[in-house]
Amino acid sequence: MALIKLNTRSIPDNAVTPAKVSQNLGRRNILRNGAINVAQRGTIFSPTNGQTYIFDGFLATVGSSFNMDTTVTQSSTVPTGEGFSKSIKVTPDSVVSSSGSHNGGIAQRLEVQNVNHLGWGTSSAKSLTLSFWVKSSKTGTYCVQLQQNATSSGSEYSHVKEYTIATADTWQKVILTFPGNTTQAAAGSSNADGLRVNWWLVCGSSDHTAADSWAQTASYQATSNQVDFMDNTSNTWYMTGCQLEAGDNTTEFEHRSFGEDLAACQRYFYKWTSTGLSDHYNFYSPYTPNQVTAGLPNSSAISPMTFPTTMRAAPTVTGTLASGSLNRATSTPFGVVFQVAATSGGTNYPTAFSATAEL
Amino acid sequence: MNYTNITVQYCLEDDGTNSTSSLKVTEDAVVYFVPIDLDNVDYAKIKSMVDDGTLTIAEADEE
Repeated sequence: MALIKLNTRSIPDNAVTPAKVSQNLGRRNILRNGAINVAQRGTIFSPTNGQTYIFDGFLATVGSSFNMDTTVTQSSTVPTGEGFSKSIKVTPDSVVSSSGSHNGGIAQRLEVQNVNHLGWGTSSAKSLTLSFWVKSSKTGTYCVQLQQNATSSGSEYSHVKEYTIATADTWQKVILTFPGNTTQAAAGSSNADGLRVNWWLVCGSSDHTAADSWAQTASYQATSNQVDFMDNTSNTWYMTGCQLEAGDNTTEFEHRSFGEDLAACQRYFYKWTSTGLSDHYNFYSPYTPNQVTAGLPNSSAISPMTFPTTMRAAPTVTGTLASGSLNRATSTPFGVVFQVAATSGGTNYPTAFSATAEL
Repeated sequence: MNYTNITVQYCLEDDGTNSTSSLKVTEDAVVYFVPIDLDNVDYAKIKSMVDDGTLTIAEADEE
């Protein structure tokens, strides 16, 4: 019997049907650390009147030097059965009245290059759907603001949406779909602050606006319905499972491994601690004593470090040594070189440092 | 950094001149080394304060 040789060319195109799979597979969450698992800086913070970076990816943000006198902790209180183990918990430490442009809340900032794929500033701008789990002892209306930065002041855009907490102390999933901004593209250098998600807890009356439309403003904004979370020190507000994805629909939260989230977060903040041994991080001089005496350009002792992830920009660095103090630390997005002035004998090495390249 | 009570000076290069790559910023007894790079938000804030006349960058310390 004769055998027929088959290959893919033998199969007519119309005999194959596409796989029935979602069009939205792969990485969907534009936010980092949405499950609040990564906390390199620590697990408890006391924000007041400045921008305070808290758990990786998030900051406590205020407007007009408002005193958001709160304690923010990484909590183990989570919605049941959703696979989360951590949440953000905020509670006021004192009752603080807001007025004028006083605002306070939790935020995440995104690089321009991480939102360019949305096609904003064109007629085909994609919408964004934000989902998160929240519970609070303070019922009422809360606001989330998308804030789009631009290269020049006055060109920023804002879009506010409301959500309601109807039942106190009960976890609920909030889903908000923001239309794409057809007017303004994310602008600035690719690693600049391009888009902010602001979860407001309090907003002064000067910054009240209408919900559900894009408006050109640089202000932090919420609607007049925004509750005053700072009116009672017994108030609590929890959030976890934050996901921002392109399109009109939300999908199940994309749980990532701790290592994946940590690496994503280390682009913006990296904390290193020594083993306690000098190891190979000892300061050393690249020159022989004779060369140093001859006055070569770099007579100080150095200790170079390489970051595990290329950082967003050259970071601000602070560090400690086994003895003495640093003369200089010179950073790039790839690493840092610590320098001390002395090249004479003795052992010295960095014991800890942190590098910050937040937005 | 909250930038409310900071002192800023240039780092000292090995040849005794002001560094062109990093600043030494002290706030609440913590020393930060801030790269002279506008992509760094700390430097961008410091530069805006200098431009506004509310902050001066001091010369590098002699060793």
